[in-house]
Amino acid sequence: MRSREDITSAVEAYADTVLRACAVYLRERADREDAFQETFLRYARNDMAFENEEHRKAWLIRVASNVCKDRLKSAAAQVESVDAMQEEGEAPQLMGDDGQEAQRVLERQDVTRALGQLDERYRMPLYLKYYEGYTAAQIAEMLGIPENTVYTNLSRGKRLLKEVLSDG
Amino acid sequence: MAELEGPGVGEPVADAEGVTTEGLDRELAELFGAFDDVRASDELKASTLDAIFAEMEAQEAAEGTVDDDPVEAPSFGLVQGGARPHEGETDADAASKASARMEVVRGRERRPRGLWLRVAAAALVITLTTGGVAYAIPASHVTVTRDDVHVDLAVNVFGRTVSVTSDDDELQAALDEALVRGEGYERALVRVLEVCDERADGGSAANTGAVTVEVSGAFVGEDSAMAETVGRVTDDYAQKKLRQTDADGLPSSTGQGATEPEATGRESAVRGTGAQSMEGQDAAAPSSDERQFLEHDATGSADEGTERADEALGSAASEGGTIEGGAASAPDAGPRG
Repeated sequence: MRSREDITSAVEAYADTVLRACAVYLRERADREDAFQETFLRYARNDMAFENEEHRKAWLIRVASNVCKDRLKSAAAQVESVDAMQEEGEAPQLMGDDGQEAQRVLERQDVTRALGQLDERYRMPLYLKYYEGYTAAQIAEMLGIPENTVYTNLSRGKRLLKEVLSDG
Repeated sequence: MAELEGPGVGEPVADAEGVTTEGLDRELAELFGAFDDVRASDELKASTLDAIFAEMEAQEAAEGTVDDDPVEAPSFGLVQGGARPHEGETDADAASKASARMEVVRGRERRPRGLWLRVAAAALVITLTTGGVAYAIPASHVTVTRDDVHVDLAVNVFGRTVSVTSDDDELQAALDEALVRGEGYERALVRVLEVCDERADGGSAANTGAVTVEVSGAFVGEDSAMAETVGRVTDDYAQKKLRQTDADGLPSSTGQGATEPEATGRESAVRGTGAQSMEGQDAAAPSSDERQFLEHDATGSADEGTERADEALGSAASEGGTIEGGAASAPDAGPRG
């Protein structure tokens, strides 16, 4: 077990990161929060030493991803729609201060919903690249898949995402 | 995103696949900014830390190393222990669910790891040991007797010859050279019969009289597959010898190549010296003298012969049990001298 200070600092620093990673996969808020807790439980039980903060963050994202995949196998959970997020006060408001902001908000809703329609293998690479800003090599290392697979998944995922967005 | 490291939203993102335009990437990065709004609430953080620390304390208590003055978990000023209730849940419900969840987690922790591996290894050791013992212990015996010289093949449950022993030292030496040990009993039996014949040719062993083959063992009955197989092998061998003898002309010695199978389950499984079935053999076309002899033999041995042995023993057996090796001849065998 890690020390309480270590665990507390990890939760404070990476709570949002882990919850977002869970939101990529899981639709229900309760499922996401369970996955969130399990991720940090695994962190607490793991005595592995991290080289730096970036390493620790990448480990947490990977564990969160694995936890969510395990949950998806046992339950037909899906990515949360923006509507559901809004109900829980986590999503941006539908209407912004002006028309342009409102349009942006709608686009964001669209991408979140569209992401939920993609196969799970495309979701995390897209999220890691376009939100977290990781390179394909880093994503490959983080998800434990070949780099070429990451390129393929990104390319196909992006094409599918574009199709879903244009259809919507 | 403020606390996250690495490039953020809106910053140039490396073109991973080098196919799409930067514009689309930028647009997607902008759209993915929706995740900015997903944030972990303080309640969630607090309940997570509470759950983790509760497990730590339980583990420490189980190990007997509980700290007298444990560090208090930060409460974030919102929740003082226990799981945070979801919508529509009371605090008690949430606490109950969290407790159940932690029980599951603890149960997983206590489960011995590699249990299946150990069970599999133990099963493998038991199987190998049992198999080794079963391989070494003879379950049945095939005894070949020719002119008071016995050869005993000890056969295990797998049908392999465990040992071969003879009361004739020279024959024993010849059998040792023949390397029948470890062979399947069918092949070993044929080899023993061949060695016996070779010895008979050499003249060191008695070269007259019949050969009997007996099968015995705790699990060998009259209708057992082993007795049946031994009968078949013996028959085949006898036929083969007859064909050889016919091809070579007259037999070199009376009784050579004549095999009289006698397989016994506890007492006797297959027994026979009859030759009446020779008439039905498609390969045999006995001459009138031979036919006369066969008829005589059939009459004389019909009482004791079984069909199997009768079919197999193409050669005619005299009343004294001696079998004329050249009695049954193939049509193309040519005139005899």
